[in-house]
Amino acid sequence: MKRALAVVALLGVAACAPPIINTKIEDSARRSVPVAICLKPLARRGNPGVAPVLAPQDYWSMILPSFDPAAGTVDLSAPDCSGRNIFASPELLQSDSPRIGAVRAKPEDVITGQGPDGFRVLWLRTHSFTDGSAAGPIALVRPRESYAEVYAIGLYRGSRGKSRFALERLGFDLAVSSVDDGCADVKGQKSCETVMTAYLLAGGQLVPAARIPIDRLEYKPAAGASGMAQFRLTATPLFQDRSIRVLEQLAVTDPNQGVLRKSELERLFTLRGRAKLVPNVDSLWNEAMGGAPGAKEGAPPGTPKK
Amino acid sequence: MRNRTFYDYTQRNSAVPEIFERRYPRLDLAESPPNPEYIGVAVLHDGVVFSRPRNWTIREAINDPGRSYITYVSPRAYSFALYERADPPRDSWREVLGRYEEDVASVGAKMIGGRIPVATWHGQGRAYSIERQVEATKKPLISHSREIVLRGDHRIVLVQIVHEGWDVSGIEEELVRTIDSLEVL
Repeated sequence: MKRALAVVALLGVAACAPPIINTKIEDSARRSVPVAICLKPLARRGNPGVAPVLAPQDYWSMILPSFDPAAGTVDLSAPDCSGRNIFASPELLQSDSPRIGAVRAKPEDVITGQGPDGFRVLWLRTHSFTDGSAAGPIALVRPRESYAEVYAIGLYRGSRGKSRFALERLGFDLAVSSVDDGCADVKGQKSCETVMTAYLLAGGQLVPAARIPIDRLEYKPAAGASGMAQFRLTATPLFQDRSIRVLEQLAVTDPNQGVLRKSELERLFTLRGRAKLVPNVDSLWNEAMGGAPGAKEGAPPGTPKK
Repeated sequence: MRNRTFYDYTQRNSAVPEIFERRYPRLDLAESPPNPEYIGVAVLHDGVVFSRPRNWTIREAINDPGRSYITYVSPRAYSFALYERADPPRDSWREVLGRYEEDVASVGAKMIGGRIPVATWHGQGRAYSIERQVEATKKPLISHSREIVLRGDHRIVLVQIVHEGWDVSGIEEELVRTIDSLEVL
């Protein structure tokens, strides 16, 4: 009898035991992708659910904690927000700017490219070169309501006023593209090159994975031409799942006879490993130039050394 | 108490409220490239101690009894989190894992692999690989995480590592010490 009562009591307790409810809060971290490498509380706040409008000084301090708002400078000896010393890159050795110490961090030296879902690509110009180009950190960031997330930081060098940036999708992955429009405003028979560089996110770094000329002009003698023929390569990159499809067109034009030759090629840059896009065939440009090392499609500048 | 301030241990004098994370120097370890410096910490009401890279930043923490958690981000683009589970510590693995798997499925996440036995310094666990789609313009983003349901004598916790790419190959070495040193008290 006693035993029966005990069983009944236990069953009763079990029936009344509150359900075990876990909060499932862990799903919030799963949804926080890409994973931030730096988090920066923002001085300005947006309305609930809305990111605030940021000023250039917000971007400087977001990437470079050494930013001094009063002096308007950043310290080249100090690390970026992820702890890496981005200014130690050998790419900056030829710059006219100081190697260490404080340099001006001007509002006009913050270049932003807008992406969907609140993403922004930033270029902070910290270094100048004698050829008129500039260099500095490039970063993928996203301002939130009261803080900003930084996802990856790299280094970019390009034309001061002719560089633009965008967020791309390689299928499920994010990528950043920069275009250095060297052929904008080119007049006369001048050679030029407009290059797109695709950056991939790898371990908190923006790694240049492929350098793709998308407009290229050169003047030189050609078979059948009455004078200096114009060689023009144009290419259209299409970002797709784990690859970039590039449609190239090369035209050889005689100033008097018009188009002498035209050829087209489809190239496929496929993702290899985490941060490399490898082309399946050589560019039409290299073929037209007789294999001359002109297309510069080796390791893009800024590729980390292994 | 909920904390949404990001504490950065790279700034040596930055103060982290001990209510979320207390120093546990016995598990400190000097930098040994390629691995960073590690610091020993006690979290979740001193219910878990472990050794973590100093360069992690605390992203968020809550210390409500029975549902406390702490999340960190690494400059190597992964996050690490510890969540206190509501499961009674005496429940069987079958019950504990059943609830966890239900939770995963209920939010639309997918188990790629699971129930793989793992051991830490003082705790036994079952590891999972989780994939989850995250809404985004054009195409969803995919998150990948390695999650371990870990039990000690008095509590059950969930360890979660959200990483980029399909596996943890780039960060594995750095995380070995952290996982090995975990003690669920």
